[in-house]
Amino acid sequence: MLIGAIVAGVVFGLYFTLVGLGLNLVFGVMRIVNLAHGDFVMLGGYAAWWLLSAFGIHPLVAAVIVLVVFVALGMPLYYLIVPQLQRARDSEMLSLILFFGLSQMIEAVATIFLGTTERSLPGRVLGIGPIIVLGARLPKPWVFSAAVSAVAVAAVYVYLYRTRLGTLTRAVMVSRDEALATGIDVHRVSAIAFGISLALAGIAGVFAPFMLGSITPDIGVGLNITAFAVIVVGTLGNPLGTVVGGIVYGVSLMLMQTYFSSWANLLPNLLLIAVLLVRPEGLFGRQVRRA
Amino acid sequence: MFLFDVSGTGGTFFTKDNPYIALMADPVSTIWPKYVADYLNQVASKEGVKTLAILYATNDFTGTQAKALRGFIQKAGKLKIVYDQGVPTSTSNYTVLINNIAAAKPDAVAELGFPGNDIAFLRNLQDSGEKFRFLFSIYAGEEFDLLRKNVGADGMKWAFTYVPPSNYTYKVNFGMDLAQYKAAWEKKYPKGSGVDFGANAIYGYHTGLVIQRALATAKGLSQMDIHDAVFGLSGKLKTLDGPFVLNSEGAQIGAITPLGQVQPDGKDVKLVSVYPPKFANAKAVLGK
Repeated sequence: MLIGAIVAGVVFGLYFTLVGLGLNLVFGVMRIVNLAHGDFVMLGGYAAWWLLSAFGIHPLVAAVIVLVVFVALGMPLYYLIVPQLQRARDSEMLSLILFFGLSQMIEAVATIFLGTTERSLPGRVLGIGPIIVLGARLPKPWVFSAAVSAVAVAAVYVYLYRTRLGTLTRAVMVSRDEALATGIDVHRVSAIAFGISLALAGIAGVFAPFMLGSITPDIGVGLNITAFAVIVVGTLGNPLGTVVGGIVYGVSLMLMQTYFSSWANLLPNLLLIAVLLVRPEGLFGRQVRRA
Repeated sequence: MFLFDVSGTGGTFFTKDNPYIALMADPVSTIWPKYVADYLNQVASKEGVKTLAILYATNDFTGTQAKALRGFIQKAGKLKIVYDQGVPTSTSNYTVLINNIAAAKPDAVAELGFPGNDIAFLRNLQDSGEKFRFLFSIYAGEEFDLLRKNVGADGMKWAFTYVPPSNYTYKVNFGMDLAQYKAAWEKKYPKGSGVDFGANAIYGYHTGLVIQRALATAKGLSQMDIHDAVFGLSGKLKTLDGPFVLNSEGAQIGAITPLGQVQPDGKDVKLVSVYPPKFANAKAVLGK
């Protein structure tokens, strides 16, 4: 049971890496917390459901469509919201309030137009049946989702460390003011990062029906809490630390389900509290960030 | 203020010191699993089903049912409970839990959750390839159409479940019967509207009927006037939800929850009633 739980936890955690990755990218670049991130995951899920049920589009193709559409949505959304936020004296706190409001609006509108009924994608489109890894029986869609997550992490790594735009993005992550002073178009770099963040959320959403069984308009808040725990564990502002945060979360969840199943939903909060008390900079942070 | 409790069946809601609540649809959850337990104790145990796993969501509705099922099984002493765990109602992945249940080698598994739990459980079970001789899920029957859409026919096949009033025709003495109501529902919410017909659709209509009749007979609008009017209907009203009977605490005891099974119907599946014999319209099939 122990090995099965750990193996399943790694795979499940890789999916939550994908859920948290975009949230951490936005925090790293803009120092704002997008509390509507989980709602964009939800919208990605509904987009995949709609594309499959209306046009028969396979979720892997839907993921590509969602990627393009969400980047295109994210960039104007950035210019609409973030520059004004960053002119405020306490932009981090204001971002919490503003994006919480946006989250509530998205959920309400989704409920009005989509209803509260559970929606999902047929399991057969990604294959039904187990893949056995070290004796653990893992659903094929989980392995697909974990693989897509790994590809997304690799793509973000290549973007950040192997492209000129990525270098500029890292410069903004180190110091927004210094980046501005050296002539970097900070808003353009940030808008692209924001678009990528939403795209990552949308792609995570495409696989949400397979990982979570079904989607409803209200899943965003719960996903956001989990994603927040994942990125705090893996270090706020360090997108690649999210991988470790996700795996720590996934393995911990499966161990909780195995040995203390009734308490499993406390896990994101327990992880948050534990990390903030013991190592507030996260597993990969060098020092506590001063406000 | 008087609470017309549509389908909040948790056993703790109904107490002697609170006359201001009445359960409209569905029996109080302490008696829901009676026929499940009776079938396991009296029929399945004779066919070699000796061990049971119970996995339940830790909310009042399913927690009470798990407690009742555990009690019925332990009292009869025919089956041994080899796995008994609660999980948060927000649980959306069951892969590891299913692996853990399989490690306990139960003949029968009762998974008690809300629709989201049952969808995730049945999908993960299908993906795991694990099979159990008896598998019970509340919403495979309670929200049959919803689960068929989200789980698929193959993932629900042979699951035991409750037969809700949306799948069983009761004789009525007030309001539309099942066929009339379903026709009206489908006119209002045609296919593709995003609103599925199921037990909850019946519960809402049935509650409306009780309120209509109670207000028509109430002497006034004080709490006790409404209480007296609602309780005065007990034993007299028969709607498409079945007989409306309240106990002295306001819990619904007239509605019943026969044991059903999702059985193959060509390439699709259908919900049939299998136990008790007086409500059965098909024979139960246990796995091998």
